[in-house]
Amino acid sequence: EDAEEDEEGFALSDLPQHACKYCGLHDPASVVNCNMCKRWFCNSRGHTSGSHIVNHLVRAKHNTVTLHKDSPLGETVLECYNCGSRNVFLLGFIPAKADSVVVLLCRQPCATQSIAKDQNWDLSQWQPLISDRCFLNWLVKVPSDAEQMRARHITAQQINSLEELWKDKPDAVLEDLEQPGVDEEVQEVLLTYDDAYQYQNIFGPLVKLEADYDRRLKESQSCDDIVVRWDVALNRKRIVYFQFPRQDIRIMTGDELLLKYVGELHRPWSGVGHVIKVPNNESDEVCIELRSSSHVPSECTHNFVIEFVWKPTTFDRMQNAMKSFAVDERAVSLYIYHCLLGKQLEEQVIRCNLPKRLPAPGLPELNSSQMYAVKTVLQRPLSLIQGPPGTGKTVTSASIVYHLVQQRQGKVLVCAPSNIAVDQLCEKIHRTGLKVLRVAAKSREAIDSSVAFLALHNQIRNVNTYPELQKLQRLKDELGELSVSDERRFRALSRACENELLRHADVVCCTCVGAGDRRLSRMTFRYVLIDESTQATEPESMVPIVLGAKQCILVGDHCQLGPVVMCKKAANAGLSQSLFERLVRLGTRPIRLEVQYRMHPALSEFPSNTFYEGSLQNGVTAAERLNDAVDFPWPRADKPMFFYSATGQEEISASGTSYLNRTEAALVEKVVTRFLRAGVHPDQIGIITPYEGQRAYLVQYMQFNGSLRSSLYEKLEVASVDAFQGREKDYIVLSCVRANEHQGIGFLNDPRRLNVAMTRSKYGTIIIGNPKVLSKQPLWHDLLTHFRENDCLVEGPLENLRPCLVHFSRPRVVKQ
Amino acid sequence: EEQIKLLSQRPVGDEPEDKDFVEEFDKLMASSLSTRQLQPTKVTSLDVAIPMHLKNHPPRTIGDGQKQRVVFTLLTKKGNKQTHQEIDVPVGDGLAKRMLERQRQEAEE
Ligand SMILES: [Zn+2]
Ligand SMILES: [Zn+2]
Ligand SMILES: [Zn+2]
Repeated sequence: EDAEEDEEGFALSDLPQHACKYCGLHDPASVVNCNMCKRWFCNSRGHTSGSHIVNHLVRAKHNTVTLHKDSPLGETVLECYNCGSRNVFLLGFIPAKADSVVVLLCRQPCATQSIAKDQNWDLSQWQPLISDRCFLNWLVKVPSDAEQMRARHITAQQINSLEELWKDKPDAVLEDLEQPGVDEEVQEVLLTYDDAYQYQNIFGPLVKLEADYDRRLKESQSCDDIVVRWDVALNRKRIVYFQFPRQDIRIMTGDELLLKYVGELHRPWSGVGHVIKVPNNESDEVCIELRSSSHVPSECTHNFVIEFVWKPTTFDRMQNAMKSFAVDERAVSLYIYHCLLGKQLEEQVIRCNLPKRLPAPGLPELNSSQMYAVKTVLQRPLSLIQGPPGTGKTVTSASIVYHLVQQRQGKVLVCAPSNIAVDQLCEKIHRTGLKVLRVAAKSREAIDSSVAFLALHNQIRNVNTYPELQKLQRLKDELGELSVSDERRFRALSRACENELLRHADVVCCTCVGAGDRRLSRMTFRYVLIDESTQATEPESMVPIVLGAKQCILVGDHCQLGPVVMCKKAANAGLSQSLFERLVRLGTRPIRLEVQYRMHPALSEFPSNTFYEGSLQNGVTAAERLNDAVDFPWPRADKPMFFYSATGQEEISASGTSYLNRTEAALVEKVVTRFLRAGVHPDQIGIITPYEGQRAYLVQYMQFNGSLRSSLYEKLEVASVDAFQGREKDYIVLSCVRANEHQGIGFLNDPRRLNVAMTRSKYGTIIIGNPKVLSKQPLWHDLLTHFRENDCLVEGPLENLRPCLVHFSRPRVVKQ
Repeated sequence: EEQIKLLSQRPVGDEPEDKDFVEEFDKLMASSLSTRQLQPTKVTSLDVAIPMHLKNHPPRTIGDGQKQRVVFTLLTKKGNKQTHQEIDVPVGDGLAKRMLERQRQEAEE
């Protein structure tokens, strides 16, 4: 238990007590305490005509103050030297006539001639403490422009409302003015923000909505009548295998589950474990590793219950990041700060040693658009790189990281939203010879990956400067558990060793959310590269950025699928828009990689023209993408693609929540079988269908009705468009499913989804759908026209395909 | 310190609430003074002694250029005891200007 607590025991960054109640500024030299209400205010004006402290005193009718103990004068109550009056509106300075001495006196009566007995003071030179509605800046420092720009921008109207609110609720804060009521709609995201507080106030509630949705979903997913199989893993930990009966719930590696025994053969027991294996082609069992091995009812196999343990970690880290962004001036450079808020800034050029040779050691040569990207981003504090499908995003990113490290200014933090993307990039960067560390969540340590040897938890095992740690590690591996004192020692040593490894690394790789890990949150990263950044929500991207970024590179493609947000309300309010996309909408032009190395040129033509203004060039020739060994009845020998017209009806699936289409499923089976007969391996084929109902039906249909042995069909990957994003296959078969005269075409309406579906295959794409129905949607109308013009819109038996002459519908905008 | 330049800024004091504030401020300044003028006070004399060791020193400046400041000593009271602390006033401030001007005159004499 302890270890997990520890893992997430990071500190929330909070504003200090003496932060200005209006704007959050907290330089002790710039703030004063109101003696009457004990609140602190600063001496900056923001956008109002008086400084914050003066605004407060006027509106609250308060008039006495004390300086901060850490200010140059120390904790000092401002008062008249002579009579002790503390009303700051009456106080002022008087200089001595002959010496560099000043004294604070009230204007009435002490600074009036009539009572002066002392001739040393020049009463005519009385200078008020408050001048131009601001405290004298040599007594209370006026924050610099840079400091003020970064503080919360409070308006006169907000000041007014807050002062009013304090009369009823003395503890109220500015955010309370904007709290939406229970039934109120959440505020939508903006393009630009006044300050990071406003940013946090808008995104905070959206992240909370998504967290609540996720929690409710997880907590509703308990499952009983589970039959288990016990085992002991190599690391001596208890592992449990079981089949998870609910198809509708996707279990992911790293998920935390609670396993409970509810039978009568053992006293009630429950234990927490995390998923280390999910169902795959070889076995449909789930495997979890239990956190503790003691007292497990390993003699029982029946009567278990599985519950999901919801952890707020991911969401807490996003909230934390937004908070740091607002209150911690070290979170990001001033330039990045204002860029993220969407402000227009005078461009900044970073002086860097541009490398003579741009390709990095161990990586392929770069093409000209890739070289341009590398050169340009090295000189800019914030850049966007758009990588359309197959254009070598990862190699470009790895090359950039290599050159950033060569600048020798600090470590580079490399992130992506998904573990798979992080691993891929991590592996490429490792090839350049840089010292790379992969930091994975504790719950994922047992999961195998191609870069496991770069993982922090594995590297610790190879450090030879900590003999005691290694001894304890061996003991732990042998016994499974250590004594309490040994465990404590083990953890302390591990932490020291981790810190040392992190200090010496050139590059640290982790998921975006992983950057909020305790082990990293106290480090500073000046350089951040986020790959697949168009698949991260904004708050997710903020997690790595607020660790000190002054140079930020976002890589992605806003013409492909965006981040997955489950809560509809949060998605509609704009949480599903990535930071990359917002910056593009603000006018930042992404640097586009323009040469694609994946698709046969015939396959890239439509996506290039439709989604990338025709800018995609082909880095592969038709010859390189024609597979003569595979005998397949393409309607045009030089174009490995066709649209296969299917006119069957869609049906509601058995679960009642999805669709399936039997005619299309039968055609998918025929196409796939033809590929398999021609010698294509099942691994090379991807079957995409947007509907879970069709996916389940297809898997079953092919196994029972396929004319080849069922084990071949089992190895086929059938999944949603979303599951194929970022990946490629040699051949893609897309089953559209929807064939309904009256309703929309659902998922396929999203152009970004069509783009992803159309750009997954290297050697051939076959789309199966109903042309009449699909052509109602303008984009699909274009696609069908494109296929028809290329003699690739066909119908009939596979061995005797003939042009499909159906009339297209008139396209109209279909509302979803 | 890092320098950046924003290409557009919001104007200052463009809200009605801000105009109210300015009016309130002026009223408060005026009324603070008039109430004191009307109030009978116990204070009858101004008596602030300058400690001997602070007398007859030429003004000291620190920093240079725009950042130049004149060091003054601020007399304060802790309870009934006199204390003094150094306080830096920018050369552009009236207080500092006059002090330096006086020094220049004295030097000429
Ligand atoms: Zn107050
Ligand atoms: Zn303030
Ligand atoms: Zn007085």
